[in-house]
Amino acid sequence: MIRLCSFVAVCLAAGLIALSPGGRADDRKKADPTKAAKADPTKELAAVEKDWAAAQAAFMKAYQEAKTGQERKQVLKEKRPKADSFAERCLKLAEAHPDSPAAIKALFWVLANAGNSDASKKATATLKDSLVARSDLDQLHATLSGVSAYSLAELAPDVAEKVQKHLDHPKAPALLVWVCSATVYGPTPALSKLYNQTVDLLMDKFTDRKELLPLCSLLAMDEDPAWAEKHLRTLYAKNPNDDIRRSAKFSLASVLKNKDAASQPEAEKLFQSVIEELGKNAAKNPIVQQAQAELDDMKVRGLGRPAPEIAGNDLDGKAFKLSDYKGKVVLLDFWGFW
Amino acid sequence: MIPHERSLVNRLEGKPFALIGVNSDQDEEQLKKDLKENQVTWRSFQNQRKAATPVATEWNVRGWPTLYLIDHKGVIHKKWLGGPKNEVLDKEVEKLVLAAEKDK
Repeated sequence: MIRLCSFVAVCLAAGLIALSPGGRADDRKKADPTKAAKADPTKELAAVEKDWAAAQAAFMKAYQEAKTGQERKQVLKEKRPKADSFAERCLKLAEAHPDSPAAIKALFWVLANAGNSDASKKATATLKDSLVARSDLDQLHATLSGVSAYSLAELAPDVAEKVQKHLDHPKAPALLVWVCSATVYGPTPALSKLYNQTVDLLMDKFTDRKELLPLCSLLAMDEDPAWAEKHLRTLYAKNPNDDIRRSAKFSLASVLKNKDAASQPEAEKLFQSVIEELGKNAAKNPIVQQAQAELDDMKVRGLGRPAPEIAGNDLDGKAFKLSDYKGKVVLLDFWGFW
Repeated sequence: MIPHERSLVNRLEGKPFALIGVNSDQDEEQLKKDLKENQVTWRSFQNQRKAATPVATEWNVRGWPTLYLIDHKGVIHKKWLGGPKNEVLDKEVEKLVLAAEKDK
């Protein structure tokens, strides 16, 4: 699995700053359950989403208007919109219209926005029962594809179990890849284990399938690089799809780049080969640019090379240099509280 | 990360080891409070520099945390994106510290 740590915090902070301010949320749109039950579920879900967006926008505005770090922390603590009442509206509409496609979407909304709540437990239970248990693999595939899998991790064990009974079904590999996307960040040890088992299963039974493309980027950042390297080597060697082989090649090069000094020549060769494969005319291709950036980085900061000097000030404003610590092992940590 | 880093620093006190941060917080006042609250005793560069590009930009850092492990001779030994498992980090650090001590 991939460890998120502060990678998430950074994205969150960046997201908060990048989003433009909007109007303030108003409290007058209190949900009326009887009305919700009668209303068109698709329209009601749209209304929930709209009200939620307005509440988010009001929070963003308050966050941007906060001047000091203390104020920002306060805004985060006090003004971050609570999804509870919105989730409640979603649950009600799903209950009132159990067979409507909007019901499934509403329950997905609950999991995406009100994770780890009573509402999300209810939504998970309902989805396991009404979606996973009752659908065949074709329906399941149609419903789950295109939906952000990450927040649906709790459904993954049921989906995996169902698919494992029908491994000869044409949609089996795609659904197992969905299970991997859903569980790649854990978040519990059991789900992490399911992630590893599912990748192993896919690599054992479906090595040559084109559905495996997303695995290449998932494996590139795995916290167990040796395991990832093994699978990426197999995909690179055995998958007949050019896109997958190229993606596996890139990810394998990235894993080797951070592995050890002895792996640097191979990483270099693989990045070079990605560039050559896409051709010289593809200079503007982001993959080519990234491969070139990795090669340039390896020449200066590759494993086995002397660390370039850093000169700057410490947090008290006192000047110092990285080379002051020669003779000691140094763990150089790019970090922040944010 | 921080609790484990703190224990690593404490455990290797007196050994040839230093944890050096590159800190990218922007709010000085808040940072001071956080440093104290989290008992961050190790030294960090300020990422932002007046006379040069930010350290993280110079080092092509694209995600946080990013860690480099540098041996006592100044050679880059390992790199991690997103933070390694604690036991993996400990093992790699201790291996290099042992080599540094033997080389004395």
